[in-house]
Amino acid sequence: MMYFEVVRSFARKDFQVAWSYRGTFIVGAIGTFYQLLIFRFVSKLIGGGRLIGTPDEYFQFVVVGIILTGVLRAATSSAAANARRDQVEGTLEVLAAQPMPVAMLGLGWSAWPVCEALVDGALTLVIAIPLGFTQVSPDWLPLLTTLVLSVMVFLAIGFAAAAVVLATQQGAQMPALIAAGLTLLSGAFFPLTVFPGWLRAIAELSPLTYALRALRASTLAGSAPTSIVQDLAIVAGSAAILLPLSVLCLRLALRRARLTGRLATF
Amino acid sequence: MFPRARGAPNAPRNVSSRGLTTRSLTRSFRGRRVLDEVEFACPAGRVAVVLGENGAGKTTLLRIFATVLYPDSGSANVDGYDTVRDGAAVRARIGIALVNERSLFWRLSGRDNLRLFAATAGVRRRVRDSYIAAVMEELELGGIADQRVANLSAGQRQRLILARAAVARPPVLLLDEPLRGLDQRGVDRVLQFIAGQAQRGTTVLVAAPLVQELAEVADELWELRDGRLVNVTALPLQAVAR
Repeated sequence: MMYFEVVRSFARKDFQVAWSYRGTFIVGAIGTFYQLLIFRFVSKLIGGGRLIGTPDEYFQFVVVGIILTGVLRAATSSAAANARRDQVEGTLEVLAAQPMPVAMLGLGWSAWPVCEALVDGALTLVIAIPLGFTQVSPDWLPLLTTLVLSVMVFLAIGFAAAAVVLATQQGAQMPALIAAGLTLLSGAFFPLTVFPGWLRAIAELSPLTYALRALRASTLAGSAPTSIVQDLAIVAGSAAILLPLSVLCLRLALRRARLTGRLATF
Repeated sequence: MFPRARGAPNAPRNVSSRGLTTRSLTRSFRGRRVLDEVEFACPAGRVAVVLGENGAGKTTLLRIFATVLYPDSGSANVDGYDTVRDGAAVRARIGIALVNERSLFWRLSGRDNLRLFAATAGVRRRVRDSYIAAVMEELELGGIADQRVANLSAGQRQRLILARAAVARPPVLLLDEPLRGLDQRGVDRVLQFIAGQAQRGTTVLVAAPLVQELAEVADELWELRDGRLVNVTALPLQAVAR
């Protein structure tokens, strides 16, 4: 309960700060609308091919990709960005003197950005429906399980990046590169069948590949439910390995910062 | 209280170990020994003021007690807990106020800043608002509690930093230059605050460049000279109050 309170308090703080610049929310919603409109027209242009399916099928495919990569970007980049912000603004040292476990600090850094990305995802769906996102048949349990497990994997990447920032005082942009690489490799905007064989083999190492597949299977009509279990098992396995490792990295990085005296400098 | 912060804040390992101690505490920065084999003890419930010129190492001592900086050698203990080995337990026992008004969240109100730090300190939700109201009242911040930090004066922000340190009612307070930037009314208020904390049994370690009005509340005076900490409580005030 107390852990939840800490994370909730961080999320509240970040929401209050974000709300004090509320124009950003409106700009974000307009940006989502533009992005969907672009893909709607692109789907008319390239849809109908052997690999992509009909224009409508491609649009459904890409909307799910847009939503999950939004969550990916938020979860991977927020911990490092907020760690860097706290370093520069001088709040890191006071936070490091609090008795909360280090995982709470990582979760606190990420809580609001991830919630915001999930809300953005819901907004994306709302905007996408009149644009043609209609063949939807959500299977809620696997859908929510996929989202939770995916966020855990993405957070692990984010915590590791935050550890780099704490230890070296640089690298806050690194998660954006990782997220872009994973987006490219995992079939967010096009099916993996367009890749050459060697690239497809690399793509199969990315947890995002399986998360996207499971999310599409649990959201879109006509998907086979049997493959979801296998895909979810891989995402869950990735989370089980990566999350404790990333928390350990965060702990070691904080320890290093306490040793070098770099908590208060940037 | 978070499980890793073993024990309750007011239940130290044993009564005799309560308070702050160091043994041969040494810390260097880029080859310069800021703290050199420092021996220090402040019993529980007392106010110790550490004096020293700028750069003498006062804040370094506070940072080590706050676990945000590790010593090169020697040890520092808070209520019997080692600041390196028992970091979580130490952090559950301290409140720290460092000279850095940027360490507040400026887009939030003073009250919301305290809400966040009370939560991170493990204060239960049902008592959180009453703790916040009490400490704000004590530091005369009640009237500006809901104003954004960005709109506060430097003196109000300084008092808010002190309130943040004390909001979780820790048994040990570490205060860096608590009178900095305050007008006379603010100085009087903060001195009352420090005295009140000590009366409730809180151990208070204050770092300051000059003794000034702090002599009113200090039980012990120490001076950092060339990395060494010397107890100057017995000396005439003129000898230390430069």
